[in-house]
Amino acid sequence: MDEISFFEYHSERRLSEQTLEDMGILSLLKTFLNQQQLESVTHYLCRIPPHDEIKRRQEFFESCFHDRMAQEYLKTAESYFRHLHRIKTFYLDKTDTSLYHIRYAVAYCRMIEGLTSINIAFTDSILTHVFAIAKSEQRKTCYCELKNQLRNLFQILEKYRRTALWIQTSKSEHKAAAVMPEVQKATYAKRLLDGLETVFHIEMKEKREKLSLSEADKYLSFLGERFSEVKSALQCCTQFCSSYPFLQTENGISDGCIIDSLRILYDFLKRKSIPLCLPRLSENARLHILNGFDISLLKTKDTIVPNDFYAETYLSLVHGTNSGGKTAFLRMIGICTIFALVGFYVPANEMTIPYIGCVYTAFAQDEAIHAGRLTNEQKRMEKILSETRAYDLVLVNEIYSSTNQKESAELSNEILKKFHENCCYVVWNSHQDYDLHEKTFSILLYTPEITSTNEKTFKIVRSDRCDTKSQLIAASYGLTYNDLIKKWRQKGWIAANDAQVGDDK
Amino acid sequence: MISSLLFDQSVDSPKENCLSNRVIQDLLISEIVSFMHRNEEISRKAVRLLSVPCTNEETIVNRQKCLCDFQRYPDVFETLTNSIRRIQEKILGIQEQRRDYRKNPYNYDNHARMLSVRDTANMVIEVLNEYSLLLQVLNSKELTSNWLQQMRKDLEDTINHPEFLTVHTYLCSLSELRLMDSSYVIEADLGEEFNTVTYSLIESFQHLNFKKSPGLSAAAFVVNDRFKEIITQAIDQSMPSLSYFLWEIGMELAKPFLSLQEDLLFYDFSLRYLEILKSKKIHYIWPQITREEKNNYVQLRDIYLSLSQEFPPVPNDYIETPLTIITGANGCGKTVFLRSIGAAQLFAQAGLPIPAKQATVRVVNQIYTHFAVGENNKGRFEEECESLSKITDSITPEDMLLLNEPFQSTVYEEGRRLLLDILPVFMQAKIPVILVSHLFGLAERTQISLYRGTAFYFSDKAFTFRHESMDAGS
Repeated sequence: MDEISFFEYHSERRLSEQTLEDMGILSLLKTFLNQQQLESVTHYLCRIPPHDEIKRRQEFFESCFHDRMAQEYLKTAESYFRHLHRIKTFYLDKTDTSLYHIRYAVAYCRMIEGLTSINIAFTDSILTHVFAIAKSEQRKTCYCELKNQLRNLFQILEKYRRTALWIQTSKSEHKAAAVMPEVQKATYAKRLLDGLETVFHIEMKEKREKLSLSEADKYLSFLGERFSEVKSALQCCTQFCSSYPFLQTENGISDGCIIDSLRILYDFLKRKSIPLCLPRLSENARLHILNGFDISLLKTKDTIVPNDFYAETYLSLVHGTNSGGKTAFLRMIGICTIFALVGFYVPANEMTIPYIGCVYTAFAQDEAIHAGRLTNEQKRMEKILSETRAYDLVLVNEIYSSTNQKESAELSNEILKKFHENCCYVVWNSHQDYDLHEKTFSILLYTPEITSTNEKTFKIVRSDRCDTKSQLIAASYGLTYNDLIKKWRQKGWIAANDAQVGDDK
Repeated sequence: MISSLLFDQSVDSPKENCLSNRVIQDLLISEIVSFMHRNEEISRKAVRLLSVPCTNEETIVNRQKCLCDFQRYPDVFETLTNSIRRIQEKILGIQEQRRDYRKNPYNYDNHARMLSVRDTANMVIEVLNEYSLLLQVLNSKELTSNWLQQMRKDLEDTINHPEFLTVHTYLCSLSELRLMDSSYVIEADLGEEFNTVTYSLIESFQHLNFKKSPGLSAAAFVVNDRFKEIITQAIDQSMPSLSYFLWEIGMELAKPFLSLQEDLLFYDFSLRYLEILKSKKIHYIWPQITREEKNNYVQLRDIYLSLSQEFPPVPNDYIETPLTIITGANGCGKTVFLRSIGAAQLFAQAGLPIPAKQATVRVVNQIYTHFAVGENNKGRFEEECESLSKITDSITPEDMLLLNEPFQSTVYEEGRRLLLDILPVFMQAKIPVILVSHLFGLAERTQISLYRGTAFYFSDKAFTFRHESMDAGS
């Protein structure tokens, strides 16, 4: 079933789930998707398709989320998934063996029923596209005919599939001797099916000769595969209950779940008034995001400050005020790039993206049990360095902070140099002073904007200034010498006339 | 009778000083406990007890002695555990029966009622037997624990109590009470004394409502119809009360055992802990508990690594000072050293031994930890400030603060400045702080050492920390 999937293909580049976690995407999706949907979207986001595939997907989503036909298809998919859920529930509470067999049959029947309807809708939606192409090429009649014939064929297939399933169902009830005449009917139907293969192949051959168009050929072969599926379903009947039925079909229907879940994400972002656009993909372009949103913040906030990013050089360093939105800026770039790479809408007003291969993240982590933080961070960086290729995007957030300033600067310079040599796009978020970075490569500097009245706007702007305002933040939490003295004097732990240690300083 | 082997009821105040989840997580307490027991209930109980540092020296010492005794005499622990198990099983059985009786009283004829009374009487006898059995085991041992000695004394007192024998005799006779199925003959080996016995029991358990029943005072009857009616009535009236009365006695006697059940779970965990240390050939010590002296560890090992690794971790010495700064090369075990001190403090205050050559532990009320965390919604630096600010709101000089790499999420210079700003206040307020930080170079160390009572611990890659004396101010 894998080969009929819209989103499945052989791909070498994969995002790690940790990257999605770092970007805060998973925790956001968890708020409105169920486990199955979450798994599908994760699966989808982690596999980066070849660049020519991105375009196809963009077109697909554009039509999918706007066409009436496609919406119908989605509705079918949704109802199908409700079916599947019910089937799974059936299996969970199986108690009695004979009852289980009957349930198995009923469930299988429902599942295939759902699958068939989803396939019809799916083929329909693809054929609409074919039709659109045909129209432009003056082959309208030809394609209309093809479409009708294919639909008819599908209906026949569906009918036989149902019969096959019905045989299966009857078999399960055979022991109860309740449906003997029905079993005879089923045997008859089976004989019919034996003849079907021959008929089908003859018909297909005729069609192929008649419509020798590459697209038609493609969809006819698609149908051929579907037919062999019917056959295999029948073979399944003969090996009743011999294997778990979901495995065969689950891959095939995952497309529906992906589209369904992405649709939910799309609607969610629309509801939150986040602008969505399909990015322009160009080999020679620079990575450029206009008014990009870090949507992971939607989990806790309703309004997000958008930011712009333009990668003039490969390396960009974000530094400055604590809690000024540096990490959110990094996440914004990451999220937009990931969404762009998988052909989905990006949360930005406009985006241009070069041929980026993959996205890697190295975010500061919690303390590990068996190794020091620095060791862990170095291991992660080494892994990223070994995996990255030219034009990959690497997002680094506050690493090497668990060592001293000198060592940290040396380590970061060394890594930046390597990335620069490898032609990787790097956005490095650091509280490290940029003066400490070597000037052998050009690096762009970004910093959170601070107004003249010392307020944070959460806008990240190009600037060489570096002022972290950490003293101000600490003071707002009462973490200053005077505040603490005052607090603990009130509690009586420090005598009022105590000599201040600060004086010794 | 003694009702707890973990707390001194007379001195221990209600426990409010429960450590936060963050501390338990930072010091890897749940992970440590999971090495001892896979059983969820025991682990939960152990974590709960460890997360409430015991602040009474006497209680801690008593726990140590009790654990020592259990370790030296495994049969005492075994007998106690088995007794409790048996009693509980019996009680549950009777409870079930009583519940059923209350629900469907009409299903019970007189015969069944008599049987119910007999079962309850059996339960009481069993509890009394457990008393004797346990006393027998305890008597044969040289116990050091005050609590176990007290328990032995209590058991002796109960068993030698004049009423104990009476109750015992009475119950034994009652357990033979039975009603013959067909002929309605009551065979009761109760004799004339029965009335007296009954009344004396009523006096000693005043809340009971047992009435003298004419049916039970006779030795044997051959029953005619009239008398059958009388007996039936008598049994109707007396059996529920008798059953309730016996149940009360049983529960009263079993209560001390049952209340010890939870405590024994903790000792079970502790014995397992000792067993693992022993099997790994790691030297452990019962720390000396004090209020006045300072913490002093010789060759202290990290508990988590001691249990998880095949080879014992590198030991380190530590003497408490108002401010201790641990610094050194990356990956040299700074965090492990800090954690080992925190975990040792918790274990010592729970009355457990710690993997060290020598240890003196000062009792603290609370342990606070502040370990660097990963990225979250608020921004790491702000999150750190908020968490530290909360700690400064609640910390007192009787507590202990463990800081691991604070302020590393801002520029080095500013992080250092912030630390230099607030650390002196902790020293002034006499709040002991142990800090792991790489923010202090030699210059800053010289500057900090001007504060009285600062100790530096430094390590290269060898995982061994040496005390750097820079105490210029002293």
